Amino acid sequence: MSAPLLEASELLRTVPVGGFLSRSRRTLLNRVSFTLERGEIVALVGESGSGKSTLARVLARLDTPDAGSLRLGGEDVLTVERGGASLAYRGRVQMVFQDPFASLNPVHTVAHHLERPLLRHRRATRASLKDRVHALLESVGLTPAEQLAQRYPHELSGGQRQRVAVARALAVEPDVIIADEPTSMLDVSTRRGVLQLLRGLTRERGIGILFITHDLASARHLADRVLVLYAGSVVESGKTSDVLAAPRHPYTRLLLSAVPDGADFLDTPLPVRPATGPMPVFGCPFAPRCPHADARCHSTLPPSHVQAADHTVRCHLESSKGASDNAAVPQ
Amino acid sequence: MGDLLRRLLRQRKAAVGGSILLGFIVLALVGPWLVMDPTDLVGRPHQPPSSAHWFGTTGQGQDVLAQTVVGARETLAIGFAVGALVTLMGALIGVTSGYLGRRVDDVLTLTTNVFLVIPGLPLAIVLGAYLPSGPFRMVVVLSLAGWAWNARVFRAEAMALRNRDFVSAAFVAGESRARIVVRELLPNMASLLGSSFIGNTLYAVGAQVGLEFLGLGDVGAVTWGTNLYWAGNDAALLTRSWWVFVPTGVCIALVGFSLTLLSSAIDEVTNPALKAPPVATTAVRSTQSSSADAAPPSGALLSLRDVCIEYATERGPSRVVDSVSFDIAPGEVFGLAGESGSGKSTLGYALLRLLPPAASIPQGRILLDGTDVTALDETALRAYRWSQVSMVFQSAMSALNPVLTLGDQFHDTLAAHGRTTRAAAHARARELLTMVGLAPQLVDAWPHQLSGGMRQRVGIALALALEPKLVVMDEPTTALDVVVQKELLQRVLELKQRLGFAVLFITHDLPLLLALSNRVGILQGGKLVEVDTAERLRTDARHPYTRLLLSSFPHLSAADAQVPADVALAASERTTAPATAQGGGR
Repeated sequence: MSAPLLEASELLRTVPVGGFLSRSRRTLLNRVSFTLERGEIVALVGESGSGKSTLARVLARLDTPDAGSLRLGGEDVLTVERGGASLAYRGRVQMVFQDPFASLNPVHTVAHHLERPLLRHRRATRASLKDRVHALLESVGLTPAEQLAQRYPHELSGGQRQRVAVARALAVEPDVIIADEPTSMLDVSTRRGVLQLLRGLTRERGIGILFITHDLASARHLADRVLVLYAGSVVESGKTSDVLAAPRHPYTRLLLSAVPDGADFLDTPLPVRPATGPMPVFGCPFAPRCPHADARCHSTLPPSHVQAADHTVRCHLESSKGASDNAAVPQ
Repeated sequence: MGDLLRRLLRQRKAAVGGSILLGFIVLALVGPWLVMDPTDLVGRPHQPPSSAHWFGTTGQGQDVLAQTVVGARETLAIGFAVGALVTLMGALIGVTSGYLGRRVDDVLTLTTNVFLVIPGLPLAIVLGAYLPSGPFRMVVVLSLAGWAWNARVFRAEAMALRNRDFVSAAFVAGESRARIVVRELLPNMASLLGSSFIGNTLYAVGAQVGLEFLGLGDVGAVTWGTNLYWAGNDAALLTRSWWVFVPTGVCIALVGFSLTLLSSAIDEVTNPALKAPPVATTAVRSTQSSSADAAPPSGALLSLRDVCIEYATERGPSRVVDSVSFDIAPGEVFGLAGESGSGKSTLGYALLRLLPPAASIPQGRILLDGTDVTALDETALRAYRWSQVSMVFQSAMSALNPVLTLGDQFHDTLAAHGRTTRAAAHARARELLTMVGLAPQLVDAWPHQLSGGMRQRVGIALALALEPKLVVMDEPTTALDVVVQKELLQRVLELKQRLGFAVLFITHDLPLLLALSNRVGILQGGKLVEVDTAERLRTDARHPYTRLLLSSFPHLSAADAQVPADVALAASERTTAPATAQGGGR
């Protein structure tokens, strides 16, 4: 099997906390590993503060991890490009930001936002520039392109702006798009259009998308695989249908039970304990809130545990069900 | 930039300031050819104004008019040159330092701070002693003494802009740092550049005149500063020759005045918050129409009849809520759903009469337990708010006062509605905190010590402090995670069971609303398009907009992945695009 399109392994990111002389550090990403294949959408779900956006910034090379490796098409980019991402990397990995009101520069026209990456990455010549810009706008469903290209961001609706942001990412003809909650700032009636646009990109162009969201329902709608992040660790991952139909980790179950879906969603109790005490240093980060936690959970970090073909869970309760603990991390 | 200029021209302050300044610039450019040589000794000293010498003569016997006019040239030239140089140096150093950060920032900030603590006047005197005399010296001295403060301003601005997503987006697109500074950051600082330039020119003119008046400039040149220097030297005050220094003084004051006007105009144009907002004229309330007189159904706690809300704008009134009528029964949860701009929050604020001054309720009645809320005066309103109807806001952090402990916030609320001691208020606060599931010890905590979910619980406890009949909740869970959201909502329902208050719940999240509410109203563009029970809306919604909203939310369980809503959605997106397409011809 050839190397995956994008492969992250053991990514670690910590930031210093406390005052000037304090040596303590807080872990934002705790050895996160995952792969992304061509034409695949992987959803990354988790609550705020779980490290979703940190991971997005690390993958977009806006931030550098403390340890771990990042491979694009099998090539270890973090060791080769120490001084920051090369233009080639930027030409293959693009990002769509959460807030389309902030991610477009208010002083530039739509056309300018698309022309810059086209010229910078030599995807168009000066002569063909206009046609390429119009083609890009049409490919994200913004018509009439000639008119819209001359507009400024404040003259567009939120949905239109996010389409421009997607078009900008597409301009460099990337292989990977990192979409950081691309619909959470949009009005509900425009969300679905943007999601369908992303789905279409993977089908038509084979782009791999890492879709970051806190909304399990849109993850189910869109993603082939899902990663559940809690306190910087991947606690469960697998095919979307497997994970959402039969969640194994107590945190995934908690998330699913909190999605506002159905008339009786407020009648079922949440499978959670009120958090007591600080997060354990050695044990499972979810242990203080976990209704099933025992002494083992508070003292040792569970290994990633293989469930089915492609469904891994990081939980002691699952590993005690049979398979040996050493079958961990086959990625 | 062009837009900014156009808006500036429409401003009266800018027009007046600009005309005065332009007049002086023209005077400085062409004036010297129209008057006699200012250094010639043309008459006797200290002559008052006459037909030969309109402004009189100086202590040396020179023409004051000529000196004033010719003096404008070098004074303004140095003023503008220093203004531009200081702005440029400050902007480049500040933006570089703020954008690059780390080591570069450390070095540049240290340099800036060193220059800031060196007092300007002694620096100017020392530098003046070493540099060759002439206008060039004045420019160098004033630029060196003045750039540091500007660099601080631009550094702060760059640090704020650096974290904006469009800068990250340009970086991900592969742009170089230099290009990001010049093309992405600086154009966003156009207004700051403009007002800094004006402010710096003002500084330069003032400092230059000051230095020259002290004799630290080139006393052989003819500028406004040296005019004053010679006036002092020749004892113009002692001889009561007011005409020697008044023309120059008036010119300096006028230039300063025009620059101040321009700078304040730029501030107003770029920061609309500084402009006084249009205040709604207290509209003559139309006598209630027949439909509005329809008596509310007996037993309704709150009833809205034909309520319209308008905002006064520069282009006339804009109606954001249009003839909305609905009722809420005691103990009922009524949900109000709509997208941004549908008027749902405006309606919520109207129930407490908390609308901004620009908004008015020209028509309709809001009846709570039979009292018309729209007709209450200030005293009655103060008693009504919070004790009858209270509110939970979307942003709990900005709704809580960051410098008061939780106990003191409860004390404030309770004391505003009757006498209470601090101890009694704190005791009640502990009780309320326990009620919403927080530890009673938190009564001594500060808002910043709480998580978002905890703050929102405090918001709910505050809203229940006076046991109101109705609690308006305006997107209280939108900023929260789903788990926290569910915990909070379950707590609200449980409390409602116990205390019996009614809830008006405002959100864009229709699935949430359907699970939470007894009845739900759908707002679109200020109009209530459908009101029905939650069960009926879920299964057979009538209005196409309701159905569109319902289909917009992906479900966890239902097989809804292939709903062909695409076409309808694309169409709605185009129609809801704001009608602000007026800026086409920049």
